[in-house]
Amino acid sequence: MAEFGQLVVFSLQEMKLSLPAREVVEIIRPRAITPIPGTMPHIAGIINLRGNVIPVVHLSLLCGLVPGDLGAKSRIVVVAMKGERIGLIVDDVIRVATASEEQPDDVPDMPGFLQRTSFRGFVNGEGSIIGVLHLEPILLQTH
Amino acid sequence: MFDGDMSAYMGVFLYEAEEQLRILENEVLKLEQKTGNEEAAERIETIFRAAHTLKGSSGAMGFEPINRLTHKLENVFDLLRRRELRADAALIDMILQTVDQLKRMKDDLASGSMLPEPPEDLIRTLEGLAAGSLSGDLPVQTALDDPDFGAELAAAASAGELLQLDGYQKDIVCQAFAADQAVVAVFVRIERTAVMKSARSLLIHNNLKELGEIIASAPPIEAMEDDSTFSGTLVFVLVTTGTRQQIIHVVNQISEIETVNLSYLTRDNLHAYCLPDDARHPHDAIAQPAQADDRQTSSSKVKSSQTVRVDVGRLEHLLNLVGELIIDQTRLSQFRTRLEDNLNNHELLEDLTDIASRLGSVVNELQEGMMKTRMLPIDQLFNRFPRMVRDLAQRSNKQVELIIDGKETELDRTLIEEISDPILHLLRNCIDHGLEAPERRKHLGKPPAGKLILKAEHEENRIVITMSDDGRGIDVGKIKRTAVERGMIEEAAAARLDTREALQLIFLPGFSTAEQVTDLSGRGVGMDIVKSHIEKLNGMIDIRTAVGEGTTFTIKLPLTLAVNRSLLVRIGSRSYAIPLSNVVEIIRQTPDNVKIAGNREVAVVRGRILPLVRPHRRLDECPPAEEGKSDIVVVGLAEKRVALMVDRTLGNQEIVIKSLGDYIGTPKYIAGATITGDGGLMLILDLNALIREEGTNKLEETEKKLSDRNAEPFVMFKLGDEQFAVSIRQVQSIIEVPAITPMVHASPELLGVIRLRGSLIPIVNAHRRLGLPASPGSKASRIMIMDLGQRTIGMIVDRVNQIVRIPEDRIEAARDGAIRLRSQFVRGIYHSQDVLGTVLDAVRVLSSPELDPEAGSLPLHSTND
Repeated sequence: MAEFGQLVVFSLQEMKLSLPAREVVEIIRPRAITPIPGTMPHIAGIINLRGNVIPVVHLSLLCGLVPGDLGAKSRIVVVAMKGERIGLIVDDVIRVATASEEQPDDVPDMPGFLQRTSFRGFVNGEGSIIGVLHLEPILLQTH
Repeated sequence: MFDGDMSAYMGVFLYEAEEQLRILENEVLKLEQKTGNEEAAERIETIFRAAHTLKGSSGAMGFEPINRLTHKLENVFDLLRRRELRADAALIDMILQTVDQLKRMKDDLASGSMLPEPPEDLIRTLEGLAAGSLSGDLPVQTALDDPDFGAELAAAASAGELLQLDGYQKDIVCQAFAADQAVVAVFVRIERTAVMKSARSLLIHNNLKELGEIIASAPPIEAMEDDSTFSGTLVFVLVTTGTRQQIIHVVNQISEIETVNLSYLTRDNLHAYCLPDDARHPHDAIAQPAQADDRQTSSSKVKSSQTVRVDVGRLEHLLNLVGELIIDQTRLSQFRTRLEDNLNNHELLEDLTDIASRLGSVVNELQEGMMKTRMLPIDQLFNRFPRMVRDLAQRSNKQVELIIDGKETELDRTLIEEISDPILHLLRNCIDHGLEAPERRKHLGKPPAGKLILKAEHEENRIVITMSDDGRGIDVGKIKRTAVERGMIEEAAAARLDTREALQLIFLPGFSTAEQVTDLSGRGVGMDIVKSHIEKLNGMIDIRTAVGEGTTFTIKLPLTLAVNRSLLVRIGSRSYAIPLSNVVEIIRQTPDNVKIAGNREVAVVRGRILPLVRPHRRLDECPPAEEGKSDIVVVGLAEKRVALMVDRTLGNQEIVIKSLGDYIGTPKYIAGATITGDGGLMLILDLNALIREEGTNKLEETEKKLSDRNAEPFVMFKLGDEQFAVSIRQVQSIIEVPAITPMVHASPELLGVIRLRGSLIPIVNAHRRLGLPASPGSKASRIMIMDLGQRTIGMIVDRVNQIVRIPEDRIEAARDGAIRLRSQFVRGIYHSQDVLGTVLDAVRVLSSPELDPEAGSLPLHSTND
């Protein structure tokens, strides 16, 4: 299993997921999202990030969960994909941690649309098994 | 001889070559027109100099084939200027053919391909022309014409033009050969725009002296010292043991050097650099070419303006930065206003106001200035046309008088490229079909030469290009007939079209009324391409015509691409931007100007009937609260015009268009976004889709409208953090939470009962029923009283948001496992505006034997089956 290095651990409703820190550009508090008519449901809209227009998506929808409203702990995790910055709405960013070397024994249930291929791997942490998302296929599944 | 260092100068050469070829072509064309002798003579001088310059620079670069061909051309021009040849049509044709060939060779160079040799028959014809001159003399420098000499000689030729060694100097050269030293003619051209050329030439001289001995120079040193006449082109003959690299290196240490070329003198080519044996006085020989060069460069100095070449990417970057500046400056301005509201006449505020307004005016000027860097006069485009029109007229046996007006009108450089094809096509059309043959015109009492007027001018934020002819005009009846014949439109529908709509038919793909297909146009693929080009540029096109009198095409294009003046409008809950260049006019809605025609809504604007578009539904917006008080914005794209109904117009504003990015792509009605003064985002409408839908799918539109009317209103509410909706048909009322009397022995899903207008209404714990965590309740909590046919039951919700129309097709079936609720309660998931929620089946949620406080059995079927 590949060495993930640092991981950004976040939650989508009850699920704990993570992304390799090197894929994360920054994490920001939610701000006014301008929706765009005629786009797919998972595209929440666009935001103004220091003068740049960035698309923001409901990561929960892409994983097959009904998204909730933005709460006090919600954050937008800005990632870079194919040179473009995209914001992912998550319910809470828990921490940035270094993954432990040992592999978990078994793989948790796949909620929503998620499958084995949606993950780069799994790590132990936070008292549970955390999936490391493979972002590109998830983001591009509708393209 | 292609020097590795030459690649740096390739760009300069190509740029210059293009200049010279353009001058050549234009002046030669003008030669055809009958003018006074003096004017003609001046023209020929200009032509000669252009060819001469091209010959020199191609030689300096080592492009032998170009050099050779230009040389032949120059010979012909030389004879012309000496009146030993007459400029008749055949000669001009020949010259133009040669210019075409040279253009092709230049293009080959630019694309990095190998230079082919010029076609031999072209060379021979040119030679023949020259030989067939009156005097029968062959021009001087025959030795250089001999193609047996290698490419080295070509470069030498240009140096040799300037430089002619006398006997004494020739001896020194031979001595150097004997001593095994290199003799190099260092040919240098200093940038035309450089100042203090004399000083530079002295520096070059001194630098070269470090490497050896300078035995000759051209022009003579005295001439170089006179800055007012020195052209900047010089040759030093250097005897040296240094290497090529060293020589080039020392010359390049001086700034603003345009080209450096080295020509090694050898025993074989020495004679090319020396005076011919029957020579004139050495001084004459050297002075004359220098003079010719001076005259040529000084006159071309007059022609070309001071320019700097800048990479377009850098300009774009600066332009983007200016855009950002504008945004921030607007924000500063708004901030200042807010501060003023809070601080009221504070003395610091005055300073801030000063600074902000000064900043504003500087930024505005900066923006205008930057815009201008991207602008070029449309002459760039128009100057190709005289030649094309001439060729086209010849091929179709017509006479055409082309009048160009407003060629100094400036427009964005990218626009120039984009617009050339459409205009060209319109030109072809006009000459091919619009103008009659000369005999026919005489018969009609018109002058035999058809008049074609091409005009460009500015109008507010647009450029307007008109093309009019005095030909036969467009027969609207024939257009209609052709369209019907080709099955493009029903006969009845065609009869209903007014002139304007009928003319628009020619923009349909496959339309052409020409009986035979000429190779120029009439293939029926033309006008729709013109239309789509103009559409792509967000422009508009109009046709005005009168049978027997002529036709005028008017093209309007927005001037700037990145920064845009836009009209802001309110549609539903948000503001949107519409590019002002597409706005035709704005009117208020009155009972008279919005009507139903056929099965669609139309607007009547100044007597014209236009399709009416209500964009609200397409933009996920709610229709306005009050009907009948909207504003109507007439927008146009290419040839289509449409009336857009908006809640109100908000004024104009300069905006910077930001793309939505690749991930979002191009949604149907949105072209981009812009950052508003308060840091928010506003969407920019894409008129394309809105307008196109009106034109073609009228039936679909009607259907959509019908389903719109059938879109049920839903009440949106929240339980905890989750969003839900129920059909409003089931909701009787929504009230604040009064005192609830709990009921003993009742199910925990029943909270109790309340008294409402004399009745007792049971209140259900919806959270519990749906398996959601209990909620503490707040001031926002409400009870929704649901009317379920035979029973009335209330349920507590945490918040009622709004009422929204959701069409049936927007409610998607819930995927299995996607929702945690029991599926029998759920009608589906909806997506509307920025909300995703669950549509509940109220009857199912609220019905169950346990919930009936009277413990009777209840009908379980839903009224919504």
